[in-house]
Amino acid sequence: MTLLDGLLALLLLLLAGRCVTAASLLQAIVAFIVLGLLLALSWVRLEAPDLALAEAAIGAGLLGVLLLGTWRRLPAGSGEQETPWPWQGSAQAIAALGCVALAVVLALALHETTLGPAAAGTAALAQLEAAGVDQPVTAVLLNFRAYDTLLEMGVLLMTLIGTLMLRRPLQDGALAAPATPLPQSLARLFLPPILLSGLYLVWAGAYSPGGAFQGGAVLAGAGVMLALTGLLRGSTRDDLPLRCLLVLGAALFTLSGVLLIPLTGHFMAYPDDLVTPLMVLIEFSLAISIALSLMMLFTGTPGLCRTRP
Amino acid sequence: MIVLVLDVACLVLILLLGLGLIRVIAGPAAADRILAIQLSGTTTVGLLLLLAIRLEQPALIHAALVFVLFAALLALGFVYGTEHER
Repeated sequence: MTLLDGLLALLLLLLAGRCVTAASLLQAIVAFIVLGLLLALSWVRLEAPDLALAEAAIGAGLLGVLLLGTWRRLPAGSGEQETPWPWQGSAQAIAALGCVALAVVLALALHETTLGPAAAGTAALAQLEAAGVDQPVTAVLLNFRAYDTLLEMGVLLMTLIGTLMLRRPLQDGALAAPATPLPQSLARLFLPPILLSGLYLVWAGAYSPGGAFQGGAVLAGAGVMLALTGLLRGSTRDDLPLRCLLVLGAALFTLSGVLLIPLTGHFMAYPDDLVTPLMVLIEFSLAISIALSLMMLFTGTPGLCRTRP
Repeated sequence: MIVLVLDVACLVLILLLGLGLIRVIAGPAAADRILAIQLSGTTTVGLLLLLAIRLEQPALIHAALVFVLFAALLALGFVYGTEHER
């Protein structure tokens, strides 16, 4: 296993270097996706299966598709200039030296740090009974540190709004018309298993690694597949029901936090007998909002519509 | 015994992953690189499944499942992009 870890670290370094020194954008994107695969394996070796799952779904999977989609829409030839490596100029040399110095200092700091008792983690594990879910990570995300997760939902919404304002939306027909019926049949065949896996991952978050973010990313993947094969396309029309679904997660999270104040006396505290159904409800609404936000980041439009055959 | 077999299998797979990187880095065509991603993805799935047994963490099977799903998506995302061949 030590040998495996060593090889993993070596390959990671190689690919990370390749990401920043690749001659063309596509090469960098490919290196980045494979780096995501190896990162997921590293999280597994670091005993963080939750992070491995998140990296698989968001880092390597969805981000890879997003990057490939962006690359595809760039005019041919942009980002292709050959750059000599490594000593192109003094600026790069200074930056590289700075990075090496920072790495040495960080390694020294890490070496000198003595681990104290993990007080917060121990307290959280001791209170797991009251959290309403069996999985410690989900308990921390949705209950003990619910405020953080709520603000993360806000960040995701702000990102989407910013993207919609800045990005030129894909107009109808901007996607290349499929020359064969194969991808569409593939998408129709693949859609049910992907949706099922996404919903299962959200549900599994209650007792094993998984949850709203990972499941939501898989659901978004299903939407991206529909958009890629032209079964679903972005529409420039505003869509009120869609917007309601986009804010559903954050709204429900906040509402359940506020409305239960008379019962519990604290913001975002949940009464004991309601906590499990509430957690599941919040988890699923968060997953729906996350999936739609991620998907609309891909299409870059304020609305979505079905393509009539 | 079974632990040793699993360890050796993991090692072989990571070595194959490393070999697959030759196509990721050398190319030469874009399609070679995308196929190399698919190869690395399949190898990673195999590694995850082996590690799930080796480390007794059944949750890793979830991660393997997610990789399988997204590997198909990555191929789709690329296929719809070959109108300007690079």
